Amino acid sequence: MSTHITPTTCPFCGVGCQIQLHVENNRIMRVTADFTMPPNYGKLCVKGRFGTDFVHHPTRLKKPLIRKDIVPGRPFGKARRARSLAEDYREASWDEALDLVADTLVAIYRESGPDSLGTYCCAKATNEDNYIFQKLFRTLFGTNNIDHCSRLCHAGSVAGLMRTIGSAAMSNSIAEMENLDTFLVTGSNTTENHPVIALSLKKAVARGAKLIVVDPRRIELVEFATLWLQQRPGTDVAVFQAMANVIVSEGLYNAEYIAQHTEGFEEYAASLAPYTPEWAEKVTGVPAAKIRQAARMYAGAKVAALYWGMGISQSTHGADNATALVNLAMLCGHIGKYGGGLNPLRGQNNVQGCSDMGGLPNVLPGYRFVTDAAERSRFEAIWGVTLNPKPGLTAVEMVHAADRGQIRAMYVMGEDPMTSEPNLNHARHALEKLDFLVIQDIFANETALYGHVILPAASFAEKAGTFTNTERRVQRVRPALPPPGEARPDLDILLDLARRLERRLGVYVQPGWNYSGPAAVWAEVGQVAPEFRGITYERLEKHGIQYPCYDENDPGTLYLFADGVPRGKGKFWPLTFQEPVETPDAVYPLNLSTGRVLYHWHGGTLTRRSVLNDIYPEPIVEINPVDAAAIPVATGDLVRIASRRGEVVARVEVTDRSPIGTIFLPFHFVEAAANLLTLDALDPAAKIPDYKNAAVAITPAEEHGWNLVLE
Amino acid sequence: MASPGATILEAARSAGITIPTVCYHDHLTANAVCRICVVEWMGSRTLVPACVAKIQPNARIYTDNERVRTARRVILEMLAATVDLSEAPELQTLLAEYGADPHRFGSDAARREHGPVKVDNPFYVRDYDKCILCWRCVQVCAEDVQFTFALGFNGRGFETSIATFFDRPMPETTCVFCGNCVGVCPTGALKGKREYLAAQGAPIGPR
Amino acid sequence: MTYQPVLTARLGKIDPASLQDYEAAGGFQALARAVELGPKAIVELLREAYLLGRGGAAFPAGIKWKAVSEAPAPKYVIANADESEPGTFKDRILMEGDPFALVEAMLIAAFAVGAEQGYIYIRGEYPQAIARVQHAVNTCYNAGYLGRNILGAGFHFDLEVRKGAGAYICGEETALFESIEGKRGFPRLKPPFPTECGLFGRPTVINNVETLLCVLPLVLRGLDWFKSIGPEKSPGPKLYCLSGRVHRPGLVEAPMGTTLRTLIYDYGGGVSGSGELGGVLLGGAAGVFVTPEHLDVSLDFAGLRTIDAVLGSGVVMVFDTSVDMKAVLRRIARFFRHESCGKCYPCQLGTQRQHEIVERLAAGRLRSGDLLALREIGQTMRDASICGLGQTASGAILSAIDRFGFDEHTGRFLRFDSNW
Repeated sequence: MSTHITPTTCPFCGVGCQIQLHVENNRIMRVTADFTMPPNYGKLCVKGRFGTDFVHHPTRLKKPLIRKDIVPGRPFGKARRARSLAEDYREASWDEALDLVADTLVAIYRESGPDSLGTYCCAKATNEDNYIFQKLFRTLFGTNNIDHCSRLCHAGSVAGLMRTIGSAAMSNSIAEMENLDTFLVTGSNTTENHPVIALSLKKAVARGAKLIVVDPRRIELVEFATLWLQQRPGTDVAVFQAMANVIVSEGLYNAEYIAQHTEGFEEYAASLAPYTPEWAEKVTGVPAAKIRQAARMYAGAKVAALYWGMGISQSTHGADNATALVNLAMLCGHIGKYGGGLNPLRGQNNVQGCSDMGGLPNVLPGYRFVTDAAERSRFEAIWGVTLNPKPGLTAVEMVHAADRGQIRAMYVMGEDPMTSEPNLNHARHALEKLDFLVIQDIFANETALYGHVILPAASFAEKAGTFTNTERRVQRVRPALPPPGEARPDLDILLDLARRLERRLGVYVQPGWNYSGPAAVWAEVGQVAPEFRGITYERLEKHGIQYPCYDENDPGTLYLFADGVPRGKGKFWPLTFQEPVETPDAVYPLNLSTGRVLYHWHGGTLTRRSVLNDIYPEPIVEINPVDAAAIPVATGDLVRIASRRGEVVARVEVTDRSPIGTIFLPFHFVEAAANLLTLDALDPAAKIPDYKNAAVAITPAEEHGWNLVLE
Repeated sequence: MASPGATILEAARSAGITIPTVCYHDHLTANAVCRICVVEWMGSRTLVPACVAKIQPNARIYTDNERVRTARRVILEMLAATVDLSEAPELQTLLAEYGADPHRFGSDAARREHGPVKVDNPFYVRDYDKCILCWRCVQVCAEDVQFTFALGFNGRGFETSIATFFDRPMPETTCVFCGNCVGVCPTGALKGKREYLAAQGAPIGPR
Repeated sequence: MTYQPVLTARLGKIDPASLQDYEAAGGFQALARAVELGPKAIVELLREAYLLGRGGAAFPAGIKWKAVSEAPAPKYVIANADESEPGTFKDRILMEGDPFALVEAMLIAAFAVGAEQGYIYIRGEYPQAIARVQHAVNTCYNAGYLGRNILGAGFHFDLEVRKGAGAYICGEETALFESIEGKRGFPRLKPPFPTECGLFGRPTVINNVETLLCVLPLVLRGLDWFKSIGPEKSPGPKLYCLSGRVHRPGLVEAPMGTTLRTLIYDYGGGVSGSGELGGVLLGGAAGVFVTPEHLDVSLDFAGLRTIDAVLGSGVVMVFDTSVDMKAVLRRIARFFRHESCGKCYPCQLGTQRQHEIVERLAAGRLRSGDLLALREIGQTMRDASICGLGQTASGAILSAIDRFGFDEHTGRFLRFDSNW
């Protein structure tokens, strides 16, 4: 029996726990954690400790697949959903599959130009995968139509942070959490979505820290909170504006910080006048006295940190929500300190890294804007090609462009837009207009079944590279197993494809596409973006390092903005409160909030194929007892949930975790896809849809009609 | 020289002196329940547990004299006569090192037996015949890590056992299946269900 | 010797439900005097009186009070009325017969150390005591002795009665805290000590009922009176729980340091049964056996140390030569096996192994090596257990074997040989 232990990084959420895979005969038998290793110091959650068995699932993709009706040299039909892999696909060699991909992409590009290609890189793939992915499409095809699911999670936060302080990363570190003085958590069900971070937050409370929770749902952290502000869903801006109003009117602000580090205070302070706690009480339902208490607690703290998640960002005014938080922090000078800062908790294992690597339509690696001629020419010099100066389309915009016929081909690496996009019925129509859809994944998820070509990739346990966690810590990913069948690491696939493309296009990029491995790719990242230069694979052998890290003697950066914010002066933004795009009415009387649960992860592609599914096998909708009595339904009943856009059936759990008038439905379940119900209106600044507010109606259902087939 | 506020155990380690431990875990609150780490502090009526007692200037401490070794040996003998230590190699080593004879209490000495292994959830199993009551699982489930409080105690004295409230199956408790308890169990009383099934000879699924 | 009882003076003479009776019999005069003296003076008085704890551990009460009086609020005072040591019944009689006295003593303690919340933790098997103390507390609230601004003296005190649930371990002060906090009764590690980190993690005075009641005459009659009673090193009145084979068993109030001979022959009317004294268990199950050679030793904390015995909670359990000492030991071993809380290994495992061996001893089936094992287990429990329960769980058994002439070959106790 062959047995070994491979230290690597957990493939689930953005905490980036360090795990050890105990492998016997090529099977992960046990997962442990090193008690001396940041960021998790031996602690894990259910997903990391027990949920990695998906890598052994029999449905892993093992051979390249090509749709059966595709014959070389002959035209083929548009994307459409396959009946099943077995019925509609045939196995192919890598050569045949990659040549088909290269030929077809080049043909469409030559016919319709760079804007006819759309690509999704991957928040679950490594930094090296994503760096090469965006470099491939930017240099060979000249397109900036590159985005990933970050658009659907933290785009609101990014927009809010960029326009105020000029940096979107989480400013504090996990290591600081146990020693917090005062902190505010809003729109983050931390114990379920960042379970190991939540442990540190609970520890902080146990050690005497004050916690303010601002959340419509009675999440577990409420039990630990000093103060709980339960606002009506979608009224976050009103709560924070009113807190700011109190801080200004009672003179609790940090005048010294404001004078030294910010601009626009006078105008902003004046703009707060109408947003009194009494006004906010009417709008949000939070008692004015509680808003005052929260404002005084936050402003009066020696140092205070803000933590937020999807509840802030996933909104048609997500950018305003985040901006309101930044305004608060700047008012009190709770920025740039140990235990004081702005902390959007990143959802996926490498969503930070994928963005850092330029997996976005408007920026090159290291957040250099494509519109910045100087930066562009620096990259052009290194890469030896001319780059497109026009920002590309965002994720939802690409779907809309496909619907218009502007985007004809899409390349999707490891994402599942047919689960994660809002208003899925519309997304499906758009996808079905594509002339060519390439899927690169480890499983045939819902989107894959629309693909013309499906390329089998290696999982996190079968490849090397780095992930960057939510606290900017770059950490190693190490292979513990061989990939199944003919599956190949993403980087391998991309480089192979790039070599085939460069011959066809006659475009030659420096230094070519023959990297010796992920370490060589990472070295190039340090070359184009100096904030990563000090982080080398050798140094990462010991433990992860937090960027910025400029040279090999630089220990990395624990918390950001000690010397001021990147924008120079933080800019106060006056805001106006706006209601959600869709609110409950007589026909659709309840508000739908979607989100995640502890036992599943995102589109469910991985966790539905794991032992995790055994404990949470069905879509469950959480309904407040008052609403349940009015329908009437009880725990265990089936209900049909309908919005103006679609309907699903889910099983009821009656619980006061949900506030009266709002139901909660996790989006992990393809058989009851929550995004059939959501709407695809976008935040004007962030282009993020609202996953937390949609009007729905509930009726009892007899049968669920779920037919979950894992391909 | 030991740093101020250091425990005897920490001070001894920094001086290169080994003091054996069983329940102690470097990253959890020390509860001093096993008493294997006791040492003789001149002037103290009883032996003191090195894992919690703070060192003081000019203290005269014997970490390995006859009185100390007897206490350790007898505790190990009684433990081994009570619990299945077959998957606790570190304890086996200690038993040998202290010349402990668990058979001295006779073959009819009561053992702690809890019936079949508890397999009540998809993630881990609980085999309390192997449980030495080190408390680590209870602590990580409570204030040391998870703040979930799914684990407590049943029974008293020799019959003490780790249990859920009213011995309910795990899915009916507050357990969130983080498995941090499994991660600190020193004797194999808690282990992943996958490993447990594999050791039972259950087939490993297709790949 | 003409000693005038003070702790038991009101027993049987007043209606324990009547505040008027209590006041008429001198009740609440000590509190009034205490308010005159002020907190500092009371603490000083207690320190100088060198009042040692009557619950078993004999720790100077004045040191506890001083430490807590100087600690920051909030802080607590607790009466440990979880009287569970086999053979002990003094606190029960005090609470049943003179419950207002306990409330008054708690008020003085709270006033002296600056606590505004107190608890009386009473053994659950004492329903009568619980009912009477609860009645006294309720009555005192109505009469203004408890609550806000007591006696117009500007101090506040709330007092709650808590019931034990049948665990011996909860008489251990830190396990008692856990119990009040709603947790399982496990003893805590010390240090930190209760005066620094007690109930709810706050500075806490916890005293035995008898100790607290000693404060009343001390405050009223003064230091010189107190010091005139008993030996210099442990002065004051003492309650002895005289039981077993004597003609007149019962509660005896006598000066600290009274001899066994006086207790058994003067107060107890002599040995019953065979009429010949076999041995005496001092301090209860957690105590040790002494023999007739020790009849003239002074029964106080210091005196008994000279013969490796303890006064404990004042248990004097007399055995004549006709008793089955092996059965007594078996009962004691079973008691500790049953009552061990299970926290620390020496006691959790040792009380079981000890019981198994004592069962064999009682059945006359000792194996070679059993006695050595018994001694090593005893030593290990005494040396390495967390709390007093384990530390004392072997004392009675080993002292019987050593002092009563146990013959390993015949499996008999020579002193108790006549019948068994």
